[in-house]
Amino acid sequence: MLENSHIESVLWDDWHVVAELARLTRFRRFVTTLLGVSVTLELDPTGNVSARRGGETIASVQIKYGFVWMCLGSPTRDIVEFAECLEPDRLLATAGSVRVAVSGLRAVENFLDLSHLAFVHAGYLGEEPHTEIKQYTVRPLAEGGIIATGCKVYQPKASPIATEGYDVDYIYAVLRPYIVVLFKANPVELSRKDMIALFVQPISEESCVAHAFTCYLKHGIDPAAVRSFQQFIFGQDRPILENQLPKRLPLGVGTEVPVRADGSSAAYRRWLSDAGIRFGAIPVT
Amino acid sequence: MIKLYNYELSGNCYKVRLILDALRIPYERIDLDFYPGYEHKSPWFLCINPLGQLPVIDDGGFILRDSQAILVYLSSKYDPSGVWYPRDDAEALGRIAMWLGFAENLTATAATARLHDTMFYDVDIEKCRAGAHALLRILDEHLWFAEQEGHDWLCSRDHPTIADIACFPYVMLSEEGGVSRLPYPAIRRWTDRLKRIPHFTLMPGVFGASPPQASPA
Amino acid sequence: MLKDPASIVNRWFPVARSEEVITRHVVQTQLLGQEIAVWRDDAGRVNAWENRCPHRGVRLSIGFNTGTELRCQYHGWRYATGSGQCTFIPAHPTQKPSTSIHTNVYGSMEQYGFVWVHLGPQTPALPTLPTLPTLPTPATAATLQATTLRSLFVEAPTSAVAQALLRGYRFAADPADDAGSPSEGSLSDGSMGEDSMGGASVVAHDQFMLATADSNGRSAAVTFLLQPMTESQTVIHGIAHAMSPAVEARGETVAVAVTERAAKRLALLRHHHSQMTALRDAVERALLAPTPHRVEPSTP
Repeated sequence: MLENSHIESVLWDDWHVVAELARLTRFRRFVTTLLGVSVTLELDPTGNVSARRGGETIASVQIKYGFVWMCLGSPTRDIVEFAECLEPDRLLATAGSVRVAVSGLRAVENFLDLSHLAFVHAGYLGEEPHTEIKQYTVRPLAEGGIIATGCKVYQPKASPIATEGYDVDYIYAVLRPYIVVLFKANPVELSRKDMIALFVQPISEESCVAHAFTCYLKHGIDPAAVRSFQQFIFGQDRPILENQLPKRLPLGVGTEVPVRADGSSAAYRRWLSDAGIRFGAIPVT
Repeated sequence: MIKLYNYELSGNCYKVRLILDALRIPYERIDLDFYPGYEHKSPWFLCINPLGQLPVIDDGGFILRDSQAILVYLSSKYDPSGVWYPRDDAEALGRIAMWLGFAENLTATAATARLHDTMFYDVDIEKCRAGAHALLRILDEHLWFAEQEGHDWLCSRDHPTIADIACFPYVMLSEEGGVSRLPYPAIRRWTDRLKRIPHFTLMPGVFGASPPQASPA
Repeated sequence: MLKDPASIVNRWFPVARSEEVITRHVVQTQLLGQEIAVWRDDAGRVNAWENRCPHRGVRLSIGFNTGTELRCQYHGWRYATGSGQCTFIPAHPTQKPSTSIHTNVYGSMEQYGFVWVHLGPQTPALPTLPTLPTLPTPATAATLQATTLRSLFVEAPTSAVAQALLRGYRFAADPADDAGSPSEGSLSDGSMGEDSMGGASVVAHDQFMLATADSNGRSAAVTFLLQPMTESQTVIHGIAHAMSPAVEARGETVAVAVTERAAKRLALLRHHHSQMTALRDAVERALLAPTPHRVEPSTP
């Protein structure tokens, strides 16, 4: 366990993704940064991943969902689990890891956001004039975090295999300060949900890596198309994120004005504040 | 139909998509898993381009790599107006070639900085950014004086050439590599003008231009 | 924002050449560490706003200028010219946005060919350009031409730039001298003074005019107005003043005179540009050079 003087336990003693396993498979050795700490990852010939900070070994390293997860402190709970991932007709795929010069909390909030879909992702996840966001419900999760249900957005091309536009139902959940997941109705089996998760790795307070993970029903899905679509969509978000000022997420009221459509982001900021999150945030003074 | 070996987030591929759309040439995209699959370095693609780079086009069996070369070929063959690449004007061709070379330098600096910042490429990032700024300074000065003489484009007065297409993507995406365009107001006006050409196509990271004023009746 | 005394915050600074603040475009600039979005509406009115949408902080300079509003690139929120009031929120299209939602508007105006901005809440006194008493007033057959120069970005603090200009800027009285390469006129080599002194007229440490004259009796001047972008970055804005003989006095046709005037103007722009870039390069190089003095550690 590494020495930590100042980072809040809710982050220090939790699991974070630090790399796609595929990157280590290709490069064998990878240096990255988590919560300001530089770590070196190595893949040995037997397929085990080890992690070091300087000469010191980091004990808590695990491979799950195609990613390398790490805890710098002493893990207080397990890595997030998704029941959907155990279903036999699912395709699990990492969809790319992209570095972004903004606080990871901004990246999570962007993922939750509905009213940008018709603008930033025009023609794909939303379209003018269908910009209205009707009332949806946000409530806290017992294990921590928030869940937003009843979200509806008209989407011209909601997924790689969608052939026409339709009103899509979304459910969003923030499971950790830096982990967010969305569930949307599968275009073929409308009663079941495709899942996309963003495991955000906080590098510093003002930069992060967004690791995307998808858990789609297999119908006609090609992993390369899934990855390509996710990269395309995130490629549209990234320049918006990098043009946000300040880079850290303000948790107080006053400098940024939410409206009703921003219910989940407002709840997210309140929850972060209540949970004592400071890293990547501008706390309420 | 022309085949384009493509990656959506590649600025060099974007140059080819821009000219194909501007010339209204239909084409088929063959998308490679550039990242994180590094498919452009895979054996099957190395047979097509031993440099392992995108874009590559296949026009009825005629295969060409290098985005600048592809711009020359497509504009020579498929632009009956001759405005994008004026084959009969030696001075214009010379200027265009000069700026195609400049575009190569942008790839080595601004584009490489972007690969470092987004996809963890291991390069000397400060050197790349400094190199990009040095080029943007030169480009801004050139465009400013061109504007003073009533020229809207890099090498010409009234219509862009492939020189503008070649330089545009990595200038437009410079901020994704940590290179701000705040000090380059003439460049910012030029990128706006380019975005207004007919059939101009966007890519992630490139926002549309402000709606133009209606022409007076 | 940089910490500055209120007197600086409440001054007018040039931030762009007026002719470059074109319609259907947004200029991105910076003053005293504060990013500003400058834009012109279709009626010609200039706006200078804090470069940050009040919704989620996205830069307004990447947004759309519709001619009457700025539209944020993130969620499409729209803000009216002049007031900066939010006029439309697409997520709630039938509701009128609260009047409390607006951009942060800075005072702006246009004068001397530039857009000027002040950051503080109170409107300061209008800027006056320095004038050089020794610059000849136009005779009946000549006119004093003022040409705004290309604004030059320098990676150096404003104080260093001002000092370099005042101490070392050299330029010719007539850059388009038909006799060949322009001879450099004499220029005051005096240091910064509080008042007009020799060939320099100083209004403020960052606003001054320099004059020169050549052996043919031609005189010219250049006014420099500095924009402190950040603590380490400056924009040099300039106005060149030159005597220009009247058309009638030289007996040429109007068409030839227009072409000649355009050529002279370009020569003037290029001349000052070449002098300014040489100065910029020297200032930037000086900042990169290792300091000649080494501080000796104190011995215990």
